Amino acid sequence: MKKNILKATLVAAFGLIAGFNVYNSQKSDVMSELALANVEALADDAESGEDFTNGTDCVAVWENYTCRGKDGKLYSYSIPKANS
Amino acid sequence: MGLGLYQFPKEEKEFMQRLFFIVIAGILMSGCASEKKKQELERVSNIAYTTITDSIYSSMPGKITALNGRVYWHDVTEADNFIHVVDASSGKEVYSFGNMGDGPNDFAMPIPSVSTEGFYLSDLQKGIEHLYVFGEDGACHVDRGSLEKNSEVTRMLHVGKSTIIALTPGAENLFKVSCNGTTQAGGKFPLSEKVGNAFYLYQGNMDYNANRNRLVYSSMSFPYLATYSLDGCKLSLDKELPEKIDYTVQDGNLVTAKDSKRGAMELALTKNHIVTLDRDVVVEGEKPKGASPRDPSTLPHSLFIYDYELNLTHILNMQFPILRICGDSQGDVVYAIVLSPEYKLIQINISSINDSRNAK
Repeated sequence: MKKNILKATLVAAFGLIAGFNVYNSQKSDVMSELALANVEALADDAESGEDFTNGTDCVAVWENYTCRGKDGKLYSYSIPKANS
Repeated sequence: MGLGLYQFPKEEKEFMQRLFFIVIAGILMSGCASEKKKQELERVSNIAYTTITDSIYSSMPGKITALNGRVYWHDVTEADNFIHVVDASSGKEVYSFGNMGDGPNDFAMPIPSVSTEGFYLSDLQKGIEHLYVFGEDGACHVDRGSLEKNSEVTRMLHVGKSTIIALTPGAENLFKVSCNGTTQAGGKFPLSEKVGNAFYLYQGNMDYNANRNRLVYSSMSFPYLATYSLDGCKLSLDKELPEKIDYTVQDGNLVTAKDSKRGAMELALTKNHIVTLDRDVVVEGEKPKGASPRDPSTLPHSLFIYDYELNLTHILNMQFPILRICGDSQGDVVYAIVLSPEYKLIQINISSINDSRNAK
C-alpha cells in the first residue's frame, strides 16, 4: 500500500514538474498583461480607430508622421488613409 | 657563339626599373583602397544593453530625446504632463510637464527637440514654444515664448541659441533655416518629382550633430539618408545615400510599388555614428501584415549603424521589437524604448562595436 502511494506521488510530482516546464516555455511567447492591455487598447481602437479614420481620413501608425486630416487639422503618428 | 641575353642600355634599364616600382606601388595602393571598401558589414546579435527603467506606462510612447544624462519621452496618449523626464543613471522619473488643451500655455501639436540650451516643446499650430532648463539645484525652469505659426513644418531642431531648422516636406524646399532674424530655404528633395503628396512622401526624421556640424535627414516613406553641413543660415548637401525606388505618378501623386521597401522608422545620432531603426529582412524576414497598423509584430528589431560618410558598418539584431531611439551626441550611447515584454527604456553603448572590429 505504502509502495503504491509512493508511486502515485512520484508520478504526480513528475507530471507537475513537466507541466510547469511546458507552461514556462510558453510564457515567454506570451506578452505580459500590461503589454496585452496596450495591444488591446490599440486594437480596441479598432472601434475608436475606425471613428478616427472616418472623421479625419487618417490612419494611426507607429511612425512619427503628421497627417493633414480632411477637417484641415494636423494629426501626429498617423498617415493619410490613401497611403495606408 | 653563346646564348647571350640581350643587354638593355643603362638608361632603359633604369626606366624599366622605375616603371616596375610605380606599377607595383599602384597595385598595392589600389589593393588597399578596395580592401577598405570591401570591409564587410558586420551583424551583431549579442550587444549588451542596460535597462534604465521598465516604468514606461503608456499605450503609445512617442519621440524620445536625450540631454545631459536625462531622457525625455513623450506620451502621445496622455493629455496632462505628457513629457516624462528620466534620469538615465538612476532610472527614476524626475519631472513631467506639458499639457494638451486650448489654454495659452497648452499644446495642440507639440514638437519636442533638444539643443545645448535645453529641452524645447514647440507648437507651430498654436505659435508657442517653451524651453525647459534644469538648473544645478535639479529644479526645472521654463521659459515661455512664441513662434510664427506654420502648418508646413513636421520636425524642428534648435542649433545653439538662435538657429532653427525646420523640415517642410510639402513646401518648395525641404528645409527652412531661421537664424538671427533671417530665413533661408534649402535642401534637396530625395526625388526630383514635384508631386501633390509631397507633404506625406518626404516626411522623415532629422537630427544635428554639433561637434561634426552635420544635419542628418532620413525619409520614412522610402530608403534615403542624407547629410548636410550648416554655414550660418545655409545648408549644403554633403552626402546622400539613395536607393532605387519603384514608383509611378498617378493623378499627380507619387505612389510607391506595393511591398516596396520603407524608409527607416527612427533616426539617432551619436558622436561617431548615425543609427537608424529598420527591419533587417535577412534576419527578421519580410514585414508581416499586421492585424492593425499598430500591431507590435510589425515593429523592427534592428539598428543599422553608419559612419558619417554614410557607410553601413554594422547591424545590431536585437531580440525584441524596438519602437523609439535617440542618441547622445557626446558619446556613443543609444537610448531606445523597446517592447520586452512591456515597454522599457534601455541604453546601448555602441562604442564596443568598433573594438570588436579593430580586434580582428
